[in-house]
Amino acid sequence: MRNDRLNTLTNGIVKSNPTFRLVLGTCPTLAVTTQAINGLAMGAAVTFVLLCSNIMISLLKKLILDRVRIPAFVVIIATFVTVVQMVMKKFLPSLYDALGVFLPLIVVNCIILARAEAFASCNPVLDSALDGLGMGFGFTLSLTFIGIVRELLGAGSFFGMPIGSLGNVSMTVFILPAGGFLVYGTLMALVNFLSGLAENRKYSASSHNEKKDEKEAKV
Amino acid sequence: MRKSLGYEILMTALVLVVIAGIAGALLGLVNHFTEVDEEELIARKATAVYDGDLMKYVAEEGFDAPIEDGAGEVVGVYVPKGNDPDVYVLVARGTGAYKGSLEILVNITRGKIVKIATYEANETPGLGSKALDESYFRQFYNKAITPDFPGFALVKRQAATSDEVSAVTGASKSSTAVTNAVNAAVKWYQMRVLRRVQV
Repeated sequence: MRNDRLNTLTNGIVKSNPTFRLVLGTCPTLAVTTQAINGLAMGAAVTFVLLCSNIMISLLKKLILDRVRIPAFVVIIATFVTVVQMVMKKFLPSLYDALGVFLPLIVVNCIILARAEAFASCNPVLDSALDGLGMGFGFTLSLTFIGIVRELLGAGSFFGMPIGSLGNVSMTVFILPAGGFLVYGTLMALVNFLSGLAENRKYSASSHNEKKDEKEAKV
Repeated sequence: MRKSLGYEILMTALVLVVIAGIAGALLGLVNHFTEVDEEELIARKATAVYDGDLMKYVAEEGFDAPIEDGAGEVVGVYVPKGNDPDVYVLVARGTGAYKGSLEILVNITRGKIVKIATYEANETPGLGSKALDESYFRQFYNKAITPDFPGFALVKRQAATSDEVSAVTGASKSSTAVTNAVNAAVKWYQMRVLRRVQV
């Protein structure tokens, strides 16, 4: 049981990472990752909304009639997005400006609606919360990662801090949309290659163990 | 059958109304704690260009028409609360930016621009935002604004004369918008303070 819960949590981070494996929410991914801090902030905002809306929808799943579940989900999600927007405008105005229109657009982010529809509306509260948290972390990690790479190549800095004279040889294209696609695609290939490698190793290790078991059984 | 249809309609409406009502109440509560006072926001941002308390500048009658020159306009004027003559902090908007327009704060002290800061802009980080760096703003500083100063001219080379500023490579749109905004501020200062033209 505990293992199941752990799986629910880590599922969104590695196995079904929303950005690199499910390829959901690519529009904000490409748009805001010009700087690492923007990616991190966007990820944090989405994580908060995912967690809260997953909990809320899971709590209300018996109450919400099937026929009107989509409008009900959207109202719940929009409420939490507006909360994030208000809090960010008050306390983090520069990030609020940097994220611009993509902050209110979290309402229609497919990761959130997909998790609400596919997971929260048919699972208990705790599992839904863990799922939201895991998916949110996965999204945040991916966005920050893309942001770090793009900022490093395109502006020669790391979280806004210039690294030596790297800024003089930076390639502006990586901050532009075209560079976003390039980085996104390359990182996706890399992540898939690495996780494929890890899966193969796991598979061969388990088959090795099985053979060993067979031998032992024969003896 | 009819009864269950009515019941269903009622339940559907009721559930949606309850959810929307709770959502509205929650948002009202959050808004109460996070409401941003626009005047306070300007005052807080203005500390970037002027060290001290500011208040809204009240123009005399006949001097309160907006100043604009097509590409830029002055949207707000603030003066120090204490005794500090001939200091004006202007909120100026310039068009031609990458995403429409941007707003900057310009401090004109005794006939010279001494400090510029970003007020509201959505330029691409690391690209257009280079035109919002201090290194670009510095080109406008400490140049005497006389009654017939023609305004700053943007050039795509090294600035040769004192009224020229060189655009930031890769950020020509944002450079243009900033120059437009600065020129609107300069025009305001010339019309209202130096020449006292009644519009």
